[in-house]
Amino acid sequence: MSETNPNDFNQPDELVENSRIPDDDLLEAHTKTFSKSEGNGQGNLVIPILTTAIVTLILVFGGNYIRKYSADFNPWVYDENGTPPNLDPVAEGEVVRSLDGEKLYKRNCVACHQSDGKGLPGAFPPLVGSPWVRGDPERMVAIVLNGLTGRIEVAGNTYNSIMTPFSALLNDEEIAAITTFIRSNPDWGNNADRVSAEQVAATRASYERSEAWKVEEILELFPLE
Amino acid sequence: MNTPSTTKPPAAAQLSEIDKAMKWPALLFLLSAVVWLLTGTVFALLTAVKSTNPGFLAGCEWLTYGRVQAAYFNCLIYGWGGNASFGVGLWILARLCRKPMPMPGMLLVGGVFWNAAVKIGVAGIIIGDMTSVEWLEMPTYASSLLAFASILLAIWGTLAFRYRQPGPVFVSQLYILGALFWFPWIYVTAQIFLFVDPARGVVQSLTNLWYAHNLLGLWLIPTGLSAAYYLIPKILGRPIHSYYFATLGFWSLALFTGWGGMRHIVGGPAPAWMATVGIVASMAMVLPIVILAVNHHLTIIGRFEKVAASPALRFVVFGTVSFTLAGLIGCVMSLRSVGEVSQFTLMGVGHVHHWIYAFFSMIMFGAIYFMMPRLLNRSWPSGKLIQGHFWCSAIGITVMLVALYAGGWIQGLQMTAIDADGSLVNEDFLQIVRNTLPWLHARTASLLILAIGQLAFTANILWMIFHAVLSWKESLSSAKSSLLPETAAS
Repeated sequence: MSETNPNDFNQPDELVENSRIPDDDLLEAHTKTFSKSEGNGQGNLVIPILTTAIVTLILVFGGNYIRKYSADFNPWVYDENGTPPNLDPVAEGEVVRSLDGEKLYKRNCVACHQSDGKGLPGAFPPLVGSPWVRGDPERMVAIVLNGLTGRIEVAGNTYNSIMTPFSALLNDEEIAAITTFIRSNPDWGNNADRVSAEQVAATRASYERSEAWKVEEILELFPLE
Repeated sequence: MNTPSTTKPPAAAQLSEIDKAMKWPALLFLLSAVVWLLTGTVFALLTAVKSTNPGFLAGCEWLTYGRVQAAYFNCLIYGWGGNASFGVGLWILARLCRKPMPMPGMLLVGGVFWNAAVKIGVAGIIIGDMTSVEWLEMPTYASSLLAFASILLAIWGTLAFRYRQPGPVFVSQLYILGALFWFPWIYVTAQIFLFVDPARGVVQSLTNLWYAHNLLGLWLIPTGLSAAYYLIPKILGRPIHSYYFATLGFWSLALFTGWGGMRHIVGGPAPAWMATVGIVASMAMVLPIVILAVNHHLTIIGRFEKVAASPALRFVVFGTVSFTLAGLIGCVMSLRSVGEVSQFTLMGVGHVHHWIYAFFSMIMFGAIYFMMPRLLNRSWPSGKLIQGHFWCSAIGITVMLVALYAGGWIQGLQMTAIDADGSLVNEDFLQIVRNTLPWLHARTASLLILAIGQLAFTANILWMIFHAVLSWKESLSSAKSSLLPETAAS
């Protein structure tokens, strides 16, 4: 083969690019580096140390990074910013309630109680500053669940109309969200405790009934504080 | 050095049997590659001018921005990149198999089909049949032909390797076989998932990202690396510095590249873990990058006078340095905090050019400077043109990379800047676009410099072929007059 003669072309390097090593020697020289007897040539110390260091770094970095940002490989988590999703179901309920309370109130309650929570004078009682919604959460939840009829006195005015029962319309989380929104709304002067879905479920279980509450029944069970 | 070499090569300088068998297929691929390179540069200049002067040729439906931009990348990747990688890669493969390869006709058929496919594809893009998928814009009537040609060439490469002369295998062969196998695999997979039986919704974008990332990482990059691994020891006459680890470099590149594409979806509408895995895979690329950097750079160290004198080695060394830089920049850009700024800016375009031009094309230029004298059995006519090609390419691509990286980073900072309340600082998006104008003008200038270099390259090749044809005719007539059998010099 002509390649065995390095000065193939009798021309300066600048114009032909002579090769200094034929292909057979090239292969042989490199294969030697794999055999133990001849493979301790120069350079074989640099890479083992580097390789070990780099592989270690990759494993440490990769492991930590995946643990931190993979969201447990949950296909529904798209958040790239690295906040792992809170997959605890109770905490998830809290998030839903605080997010949805106002929206649910607007959807279900504003027709009577109005968006400012002040009701309509003579027709529907206010929720703003009302002792009926503060205090024992069970009273308010029981009224929302089963409704209320009869003459009622709120903040010095008397009302006589019907509160719709919501037990068939809203689930425990939704009722908890609405009642929490009303009870803890600082704009309305209320700062009572939050209501949890479990409390609503418990109230729903203990006071299952087909008729609306009468005002006297409620006051007997849960007297105003 | 400006005097053309009209002296006939000495009688001893006959083509080796291997080069003789590969002569016509290799010439077909290399010359087509050069034609596509020039065509691509014309489209690139149109694209660049249109991005600063949208009114330029706006009346011509066939030359709207979207079409010339797609035509540019398809010429560059499939026309220039494909032909160069087949020409150089298969030639190196045949040489290292150390046996004259049978069936060079199969390569000619593959090459003709490949080039026909790219021609039909680019014409389809220009007349408006293009698909909407980046880097797969060719209409399906061209892509099936392209897939067929690539499979044909891959089969030839596999057969060549299977029936090589028994003996050791060099790492260049691994990279070429990898590239030959990976291209049909990713191309056919992407075609099936995007056009034949399209995936729904976001999976389409993910498939596209996977394809585009691997097109560079598993096709053009392995080919470039194989040429560098072959040419550096070949020209220096010195073995690779730490060859023992070359195979580890190959397998780690093969393992990590495929996962890396998903890093481009940081902040996008896809499950968070996909981007995370992509980022980790991109960071893991540090391993092959360091192995390749040690092997390429430490082999060169202390031999710079040889690099300066050698036409091929200059280009190859520029390419390997670009490999290290582009690889490390890719690692940094994959990190979330950096990616959030750099993605969807000029930086992405810059990084692609870093791979395709500063790394792949430079090494291919070097390989072509090494190959052509061996295929035509004559020296290059002009050393000045080679130098001009090198310096134009080196300066042009450096200007382009600086402009696109710097402009893109500034663009990204302006787009993502928020004040203490969390609202955008730069609410006028158009102003951010206008701010990129100086950088885009710099890119146009850099493309002009690159084009001058490519013209020097083309002139040298044409000059060389002209002389080859002349001396072939001469030998033919002298053979006739002396009634002697034709010498094997052609």
